Amino acid sequence: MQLSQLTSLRNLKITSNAFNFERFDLNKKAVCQLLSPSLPPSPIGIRFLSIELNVRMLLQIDSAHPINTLPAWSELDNVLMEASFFNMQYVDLDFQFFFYIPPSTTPEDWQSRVAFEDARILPLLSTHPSIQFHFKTNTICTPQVMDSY
Amino acid sequence: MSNPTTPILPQEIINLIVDEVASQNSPEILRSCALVSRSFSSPSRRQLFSEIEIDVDETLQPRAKRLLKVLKHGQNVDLMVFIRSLKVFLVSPQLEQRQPAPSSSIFSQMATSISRKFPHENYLLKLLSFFVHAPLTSFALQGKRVYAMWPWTDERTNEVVRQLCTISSLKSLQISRIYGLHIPLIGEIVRANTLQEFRVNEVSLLLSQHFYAGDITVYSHAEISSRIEKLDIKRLSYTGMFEIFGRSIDPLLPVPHPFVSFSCLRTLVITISSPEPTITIIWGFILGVASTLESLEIEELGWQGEYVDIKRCLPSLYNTHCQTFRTHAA
Repeated sequence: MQLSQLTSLRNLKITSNAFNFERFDLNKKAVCQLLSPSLPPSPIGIRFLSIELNVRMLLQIDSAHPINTLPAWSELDNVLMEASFFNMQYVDLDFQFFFYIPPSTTPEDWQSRVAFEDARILPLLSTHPSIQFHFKTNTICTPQVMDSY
Repeated sequence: MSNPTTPILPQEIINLIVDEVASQNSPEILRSCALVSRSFSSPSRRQLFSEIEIDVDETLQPRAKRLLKVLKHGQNVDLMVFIRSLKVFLVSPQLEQRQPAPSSSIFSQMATSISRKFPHENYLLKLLSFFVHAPLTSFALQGKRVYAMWPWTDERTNEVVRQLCTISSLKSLQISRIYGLHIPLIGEIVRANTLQEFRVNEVSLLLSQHFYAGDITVYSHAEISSRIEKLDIKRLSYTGMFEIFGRSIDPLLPVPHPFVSFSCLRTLVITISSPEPTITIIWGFILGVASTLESLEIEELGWQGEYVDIKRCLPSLYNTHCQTFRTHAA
């Protein structure tokens, strides 16, 4: 399906959950695929785009993952700069990283090692003169399953 | 005789004050307003009783009895016409947290709980039957804490819930976090065609026993032009839901429900997390409302794995922890 076919669409929110980094990467690619303009390009009237990506992290394995250097970020950055998005005014990007900890663990035992720089992963979007770009990350340390949020 | 030192405000101004207080969403302040004077009491009580929430748990019956007594009291009979919103929360029992209980044990606990909730003198049934005659515009039936099981064992209560879901004045209906909801109930809601907002999410749908017996009701195939403007069908059994909308996952199978067109639909919330044939139908559905759809919220884009609702439901039954530790990174 091409978004340009949804002629009245002004607000699009995509929420995606991943239980490992492989799935997380596939989810990002799926988002890029959905946002990619058709050939030949047709106008897409979206004004507000919100992308929320949730990923479950394994404390010992995923903390050191180079999440902000994956090539899919530049793909998303480039896709959103396409002329098809002539009406785009707001883009919200919201990441939530869920670290499972056993209930017996105290919060003091845990320290987040995930850090992002929005300008680094989406340089074109973050410096665009007419698009308001909001970037937020939450790191959630919890004994509960991700679905409960 | 009025006290000369007390300024007398016109009733219209008092009503505006109470409306403003009500917009702050603070029942405590509204309750205080109701005690100021008679001129404050009436508009405050109207606001207080315009939205009613009921927790269906072990302590339900005495609370339902008290509320029913208040609503039927001679001075309060006029309050019914001001009741606009009803929310019923099905609170599942706290389960054993140390070790996951086997599913048979869970159902046993639920059966015990249900027998406590529905004794011979069923005040919930009486209370809900009372609300059937109120001019409700909004009704919500939600599992609270974990998924709630449907149907309830009390068939009379199920019937009253069915009536509440199809009241002619109803504009907004939310059914959430329910496991095993019957498809015919949803079909009846769609055919009643009163709603502008329909949220049926985190629900698994079950075919009725009549279906398994081969007794399928085929409804009139006159197309229904739905009035729904906002449709939230996130985390749902889509095979059943699209069947209710008159669309079949398998083109070789007959669809017992009439085709439903959504010419007013402006907002859609949907999960695209299903096997391939279902995803094709979902995209087809979205394209079918392209001319009016202004807001689209997609969950689980692109996931094409097996989607079995019970896998979502049963782990949640165990999930009764309340402790969370949140930290925020910039």
